[in-house]
Amino acid sequence: MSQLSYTIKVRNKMLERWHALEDEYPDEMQELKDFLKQYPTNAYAKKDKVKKLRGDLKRFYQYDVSHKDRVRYSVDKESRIVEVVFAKGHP
Amino acid sequence: MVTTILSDDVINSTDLRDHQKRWFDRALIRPVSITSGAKKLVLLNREHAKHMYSLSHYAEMIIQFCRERELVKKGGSDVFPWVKHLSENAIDEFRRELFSTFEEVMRSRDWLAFEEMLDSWVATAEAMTNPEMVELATTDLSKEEFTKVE
Repeated sequence: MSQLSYTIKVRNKMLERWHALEDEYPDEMQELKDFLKQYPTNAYAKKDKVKKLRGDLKRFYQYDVSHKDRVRYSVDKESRIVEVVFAKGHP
Repeated sequence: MVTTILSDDVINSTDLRDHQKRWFDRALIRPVSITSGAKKLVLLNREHAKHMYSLSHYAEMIIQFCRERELVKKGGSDVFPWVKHLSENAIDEFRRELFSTFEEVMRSRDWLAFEEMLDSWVATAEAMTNPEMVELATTDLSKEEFTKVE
């Protein structure tokens, strides 16, 4: 693993939903994790899936796992940590 | 008498028929107007046409949004119905970004950037329909616990 890769941390309140998404969408979630570890702020790399939120949610990015399931996260570039704050799944 | 617009060349259908390649090559650079009796058509580079259409389409939306100022204050918009889910400050921020991005696109012709900006705001408004996300907007996450995942 590259020394420059990001660490993914999931908010404890969302862990169950995160794992539910992994069970339901294993390939899509692996794609998400690979993306978050490599270039989590690069919306252009995944134009149809990643959006930088605005307004009161400007701290967060949104990744569309499926047409209805979203993961939202913030990125600390200095410490190279991605914090997943919201995951919508079916626990 | 035909008035030229957009610095276009004005030709008739016979000219077009006799010198097709010349006029098609010219039309790639600037419009070529073709007259045939009372009929008036324009041969235009598709990318230029797309830009003109997008300019007109979004300018109309922005003007309508400006006219809706009072309606938006009450939390509604016919042009961007989803703004009702945004806070007042966020609506102001959206308005500023809408104008600045439109101004930039008039110069750059990068309509993808404009559409991505709108998509981001739509996604934000959608997120704000979820009470958990509304709460997150004001939550100090440094007090929350996180678990590392592989």
